[in-house]
Amino acid sequence: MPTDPVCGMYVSEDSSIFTVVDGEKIYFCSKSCMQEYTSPDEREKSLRYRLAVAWIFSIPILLITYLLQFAYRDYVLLLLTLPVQFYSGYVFYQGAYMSIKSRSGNMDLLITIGTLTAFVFSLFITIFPRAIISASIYYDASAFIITLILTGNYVENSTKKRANRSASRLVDMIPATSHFITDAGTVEDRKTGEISVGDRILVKPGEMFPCDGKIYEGVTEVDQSVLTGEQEPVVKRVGDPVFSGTSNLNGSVRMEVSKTGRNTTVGQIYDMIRKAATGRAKVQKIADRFSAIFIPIVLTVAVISAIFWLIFLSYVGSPYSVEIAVLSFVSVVVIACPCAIGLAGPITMLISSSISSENGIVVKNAGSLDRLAKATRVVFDKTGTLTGSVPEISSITVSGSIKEDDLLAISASLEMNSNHPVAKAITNEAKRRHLILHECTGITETPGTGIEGVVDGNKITLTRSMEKSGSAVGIYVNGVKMGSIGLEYPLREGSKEAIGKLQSMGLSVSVLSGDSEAAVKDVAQILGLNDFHSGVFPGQKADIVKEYQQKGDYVIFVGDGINDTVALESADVGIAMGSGSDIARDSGDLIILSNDLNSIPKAIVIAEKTISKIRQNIFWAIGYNSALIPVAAGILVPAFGLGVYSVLPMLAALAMGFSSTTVVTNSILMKGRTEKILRDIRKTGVKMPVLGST
Amino acid sequence: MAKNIDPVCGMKVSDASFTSNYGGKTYYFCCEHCKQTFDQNPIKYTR
Repeated sequence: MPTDPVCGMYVSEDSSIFTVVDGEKIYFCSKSCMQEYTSPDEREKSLRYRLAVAWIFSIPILLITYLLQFAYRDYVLLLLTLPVQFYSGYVFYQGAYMSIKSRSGNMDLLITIGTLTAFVFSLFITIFPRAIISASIYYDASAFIITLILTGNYVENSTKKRANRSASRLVDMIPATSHFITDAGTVEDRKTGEISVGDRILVKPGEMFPCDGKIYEGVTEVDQSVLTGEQEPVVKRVGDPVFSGTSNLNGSVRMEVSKTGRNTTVGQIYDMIRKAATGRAKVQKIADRFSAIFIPIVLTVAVISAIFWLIFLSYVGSPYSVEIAVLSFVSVVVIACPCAIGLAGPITMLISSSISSENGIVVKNAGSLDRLAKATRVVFDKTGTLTGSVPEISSITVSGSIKEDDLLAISASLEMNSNHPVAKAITNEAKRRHLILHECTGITETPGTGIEGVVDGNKITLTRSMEKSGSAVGIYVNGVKMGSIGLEYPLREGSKEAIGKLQSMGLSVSVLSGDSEAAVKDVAQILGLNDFHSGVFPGQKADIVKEYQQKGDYVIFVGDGINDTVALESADVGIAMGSGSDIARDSGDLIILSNDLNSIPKAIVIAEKTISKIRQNIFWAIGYNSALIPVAAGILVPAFGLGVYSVLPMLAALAMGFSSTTVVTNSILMKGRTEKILRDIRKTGVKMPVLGST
Repeated sequence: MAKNIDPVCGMKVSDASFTSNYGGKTYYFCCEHCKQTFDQNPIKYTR
């Protein structure tokens, strides 16, 4: 059964209240929750009006109730209470109606029952003042419960908005207008929303890229820190991809647009942050289970408490029996409103995803955070993850009379027609040496084997093979081997440091690769790893992950390629590199946009802090609600007398607002504390916290 | 029938159209996709 992303309530899939985001149906318990999700500003405005009305009428209600006595006072109080009860309190009735309809209790139901009980009782006494001897009216209780809870909702709304701001900030940065290049080559300004895929635009120095695309003219440095957290500018040349939201620092460039609007990198991150906040970690199920049984229990306790006071006070001859019975019922119902429990998870998840995105980490699957916090082993794919994805040429061996540059030139002439990383390395080296390349015809590329074609009338065959020391390309001209090119993948910057940090956090680290044993062993030795697997086929990567799991490890798999997909899905947590293939990014639970492996210890710390904070919040909210129910039911009456019931309903509402505020504040504190640890991770030589220690 | 939780997607499941047995226990799924995901690596979803 789906849950309402705003209040966390279970909603039936038969509900007609839903919205579709990116083809996914999102269900809501009420129109007000849907309004809060789809147009939060309007919702806030409406809440502000209702809150203003509530306070404007509640203060005179309080003053008149306690300070003034005059004819028709009860009727004046009734008139003053009506707007609070039925205009300001309307938001709760909507939620209560949906709660009854879906047969799953929520806080709106409790507020509605509590305030309507106090109101109807007071109305009865107003109309029939002599019906119950000594009975008073309690319009102040019903009005103030609504006012205080609405105030709590307003504060909570504002806090959520602040927490959400970092996600919105990404989208707000996109410039409203773009410099469109017409077919005639002239430049005209158009709204960014009108730019389509395939359009060409100009981006001047100092401006932000409005869309994703590829540069086709110009060179510049780009500040990508908003996406990757990496402050160092990146040089972008013709053919390089650029992303919306990043800053063009110093060159005028022309680009062809490949993605616009919500499909851009920034648009997708924004969506992921919003969705992550509505995702549910396993630990939140405790709150779900609790809420499901809590409301029937509360209503039962409230009824028992009311019956007890009615019978007991009638038995001892107190004239206040009916009144106290009603007030104890109202107090128990109001004090037990489980709104803090509903907030405990979502608000923490929202803040957690905001911290992650600021550190270049996108949490796609909130459910993986529990497993990430429990991780005991990190398994790295080698190529493209621990090393760069494009190899570098380490040696060129020539047989016969051909010159090294000529051998490289004919190889590059063929390889410039391929997208293979080895091909990229060979063409890059040819470009670096300023070699003249030749036209090539009849090209045939065989995946996993190599490429062949005709250059200057000669049949050239390049075979890609695994040698003892790494990858190698054999070069054959008309079937005769003329030489070979050796390639090696350079280690990714910061990989040794990241592995050291993971080990100092108490995690075991392994590496696996399809490369030869010698190549993998070399990398493992440099990184200080004893556990490595070489010559592993894609399907076997997942089997190795499962073997670790069967031995009791919680496994994080970090990979980038299509061949890592199954392992990413099999692992307890799959982390895909931002530079990796689209399929790998789709399979991962998390994406490291910055491609910085140091983001992995950061992600683990964020997950651990998030889960621990959700646990704290749930404990606080459950403990609070449970502890105060006996107080509301009358446990303090022997000590303070029946007089406590004249203020208990209002105190209950105040305490309830305080409980929600505490949960929200506790979650916000997580931001500062987690960021401090993350700053420490950035510094080298700082001892990492051992998982589970805090 | 009592409602069960799909261990893959977390949804409540009230019918027995998609089930798997693992470790002597029956797990219920909302759809074929969740069942297949579970069957590929049950240990991930059962601890």
